[in-house]
Amino acid sequence: MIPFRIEVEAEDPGRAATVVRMAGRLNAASSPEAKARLKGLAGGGAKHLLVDLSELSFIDSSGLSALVAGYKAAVEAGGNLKLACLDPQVREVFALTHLDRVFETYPDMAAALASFPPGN
Amino acid sequence: MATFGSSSDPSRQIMTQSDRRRRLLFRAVATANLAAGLVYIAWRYAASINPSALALSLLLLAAETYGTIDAVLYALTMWKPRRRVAPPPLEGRSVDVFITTYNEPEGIVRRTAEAAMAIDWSPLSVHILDDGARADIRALAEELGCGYITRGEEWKGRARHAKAGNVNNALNETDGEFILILDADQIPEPRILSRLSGYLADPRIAFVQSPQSFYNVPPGDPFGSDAALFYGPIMRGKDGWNAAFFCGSNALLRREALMQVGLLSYAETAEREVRASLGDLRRQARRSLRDDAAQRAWKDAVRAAVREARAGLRRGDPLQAVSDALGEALREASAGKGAGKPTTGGLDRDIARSREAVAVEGVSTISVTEDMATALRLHASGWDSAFHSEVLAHGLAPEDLGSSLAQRLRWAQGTIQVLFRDSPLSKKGLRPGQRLMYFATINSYFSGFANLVFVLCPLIFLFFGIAPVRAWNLDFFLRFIPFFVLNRLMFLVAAEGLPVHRGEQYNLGLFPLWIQAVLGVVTGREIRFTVTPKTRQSGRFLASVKVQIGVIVLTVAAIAYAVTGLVLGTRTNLLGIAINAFWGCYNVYQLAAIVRAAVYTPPEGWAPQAPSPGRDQGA
Repeated sequence: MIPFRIEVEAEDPGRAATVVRMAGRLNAASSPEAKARLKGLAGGGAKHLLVDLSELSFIDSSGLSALVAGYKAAVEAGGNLKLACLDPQVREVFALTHLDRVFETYPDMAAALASFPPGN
Repeated sequence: MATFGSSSDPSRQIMTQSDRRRRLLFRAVATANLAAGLVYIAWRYAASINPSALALSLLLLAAETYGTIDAVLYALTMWKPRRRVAPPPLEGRSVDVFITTYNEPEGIVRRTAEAAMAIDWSPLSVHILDDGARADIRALAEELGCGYITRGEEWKGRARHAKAGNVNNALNETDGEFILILDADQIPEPRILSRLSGYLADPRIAFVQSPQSFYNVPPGDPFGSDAALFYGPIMRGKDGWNAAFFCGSNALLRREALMQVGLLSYAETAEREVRASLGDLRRQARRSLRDDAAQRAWKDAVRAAVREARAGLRRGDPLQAVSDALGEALREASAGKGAGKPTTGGLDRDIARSREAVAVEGVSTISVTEDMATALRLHASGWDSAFHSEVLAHGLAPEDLGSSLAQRLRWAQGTIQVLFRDSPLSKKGLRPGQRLMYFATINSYFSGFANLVFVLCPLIFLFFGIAPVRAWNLDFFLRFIPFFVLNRLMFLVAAEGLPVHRGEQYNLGLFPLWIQAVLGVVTGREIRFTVTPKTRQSGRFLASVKVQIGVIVLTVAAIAYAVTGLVLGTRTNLLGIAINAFWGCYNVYQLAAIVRAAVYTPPEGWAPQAPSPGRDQGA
């Protein structure tokens, strides 16, 4: 089983959002860490967050709640949080909990980055 | 007094011979009762209405119809009870114990926390959820080495949602796979998780509820606290329909289930709020007073943007995309010269549920009875539930009438709130049996109106001679008596020998409270989550029972008045007066229990003994 990992890509002034990569299993056990990191980034001025889920193999409802909490923190900091590259299992849980009716998801990072307002 | 390790072990029994016999007997009696009820009520509609007192006739008929429906729902509840065997424990799964407290004394929380720490389970983490943020409780948690959780900064200036909010806050801070919820006074037995965890081996089961049992019920149960009928036959009956309720404490819940229904409800609420904001935005544009060209252009642009956003929602675009498009359109509209009107700049804050401290609420916050609302959400999302009928925790019931009434009022109002805000009658996803079980519980809280009629009818006849039926004659008795007797018999059989007498007295006697509960919700007067005091409040509570006292006095006066009339020869309807005097006496008898409870003081030297977990299970 791949343990959960969360990494923040180095800042790139040319990019519209801060890129966060998650890998492994995002579940009840790992969601507190994910939530804390996302909230920390949003509160720390990163504002726009783009979460790359291409290496995330599993997510449960607690994991999804962590993403929603991160989204909430980003919006309250005046920014946004978007999700890209969902694995089929992740996409399925996403649809099952109707989050697909709330969040836009992007098939690749380029499309996701283009969706953020420029100049932030 | 309750002690641990009682000799019998009810959960090991499955459908025993006596269970089967009782079920058969119940079905026979219930069927006969329903047949008799149908005959009686049909006759009442067809042939008994008193045309010279039409309003009163119809009122009584409506009340009796309600009573018949209630009996049908009760029969259905008890039709196929399920007695479960505790499955083998699900070893090794992590459990968080939540002890919810707000203002209970430290001594009460301590007993529960110590017992929780002694639960025979690993991995186990015990957390005190102190909504009162008190120093002594924090010190207690430190001393015992258990977790201590209070609300964080994010709750400042936001709705707290009482116990539901307290639990949702803790769900965010913990990560156990299962959650055992305990009220501050519910002292768990060490074996509680060994007994309950096995149910969650079935991945479809969201929670298993065990009984609440009270060790401080005074002799004779003056406040009607004993809940053995509910946490026995009634819950087994609901379980038979896969509709066991979550009752707020002594239940083991699956975190995944809570979070999943929390997400579903989050998505639903976010969409509702987005729609509401679009409506607000349109109104804002319509109302703006300035009327120059720039303003008109701005208004048109806003209207067009709202139209487009609504079209997006209809198409099923994600809310985030709708919000982005709207934000963009509004920015363009405002960029036009001269348009200085501020706009909401997108709907992200609705989607992020910025008004709430927690976006995803595992426990429902729509009602002051969060437990029932949560179970309803779980059942509607296809989750199953279980009831384990063995007592595994021992707690405190209210020790005075005032606290007892406040608790009942909250239950009643919360339940009726659920009907109005998330009606089990129309909610998608519930199976018919589950719908019926929720409706049966909600319906029972409307009994106050029927009982008001039952209390008034004899008064009106005894004072004024106005009868709500054409005649009390043989036709009436031939139909009424079989129904009445069979109905009593049905309730008796269903109770399985448990005392039901006090509960019935409270059901009738508290009719003013039930009416108050319904009217409070209907008129939208604010309902607060009141924490039921766990210690006896001093004083007498006659003011709380003034309606009951009034009815008793009036009934006695009415009987005296009518009998005097008979003696003086001014009244002649002996049978009518006798029946109504009997009816009035029955009402007085039921109401008197509540009045007695208002002035009740426990017997000299009576002191409840808290069970101590180590005592019988130490070895």
